Amino acid sequence: MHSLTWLWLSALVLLSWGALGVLQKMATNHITPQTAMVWAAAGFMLLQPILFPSGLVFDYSAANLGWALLNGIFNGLGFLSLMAAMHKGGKASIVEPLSAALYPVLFVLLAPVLLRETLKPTQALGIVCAITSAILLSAERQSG
Amino acid sequence: MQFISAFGFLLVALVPVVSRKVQFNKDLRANGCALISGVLLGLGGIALFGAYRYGENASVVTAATSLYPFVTVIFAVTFLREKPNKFQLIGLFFAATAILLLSL
Repeated sequence: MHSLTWLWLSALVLLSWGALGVLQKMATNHITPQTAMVWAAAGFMLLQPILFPSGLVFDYSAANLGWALLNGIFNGLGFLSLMAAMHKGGKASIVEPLSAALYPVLFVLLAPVLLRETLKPTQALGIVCAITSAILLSAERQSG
Repeated sequence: MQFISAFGFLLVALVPVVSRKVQFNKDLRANGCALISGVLLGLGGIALFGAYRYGENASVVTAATSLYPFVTVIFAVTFLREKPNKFQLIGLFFAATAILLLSL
C-alpha cells in the first residue's frame, strides 16, 4: 500500500517547489520582494493548521522551540533573498539551481566544525561541482 | 516543529511591514503569484515530511526531492521563455551533479 506513496509525495515536492520559483519570478517582475514576501507568508500560513502539533507546544524545550523558530527565520530570509535576486533581474532558471547547488556547500563546510562530522570524498567533489556551477551559471554577460 | 518554524518565516515577512517598506498595489496577478508561492512552499514541506515517513530510504528521498530547481528550469523555459546560454547549460549540469553529491 505504502510502497509508492513516498514516490508520489516526492513528485509533489518537485512540482510544488519547482513551480514556486516561476511564481516568485512572476510576482517580483511587478511587485517588490518585500511585498511578495508578505503575500507568500500569508499563503504559507494557510496550510500550517495541518501541522499543528498533537501535543502541547510547550512540551518542547525552550532550546528546541528556539531552533525551530531560527530555522523559520533563515527559511524566510532565504525566500526573501531569492525573490530579491529575481527582482533585480535574475532568471528563475538560473537563480534557483545556483542557490540550491551552493547552500549545501556552507552546511558541508560547517558540519565538521559545528557537528564534528568528517567530510566525505563525494561531498568534496560536490563542493567542486557547486563552485564550478556557480561560475558558469553567473556567466550572463559573456555569451549573452 | 515545522509549525513553530512557520512563525519564524512570518517574522521575516513582518519586518518590512513594520518598517513600512511594503507597497501594496492592485496587481492581482502578481499578488496572487506570491500568495500561491507561499502555499506551494508549505505544501512541498508537508509532502516532504510524508515522503520521509513512507519512504524506506531517506537518502533516496533527499536526492530525488533536491532536484526541484530543475523543475523550475523546465517551467521557466516553458512558461517564461527564459533561455539559459551555453555556459549556463553546462553550469546546470554541474549544479545537478553537485546537488546529488552533496545530498548523498
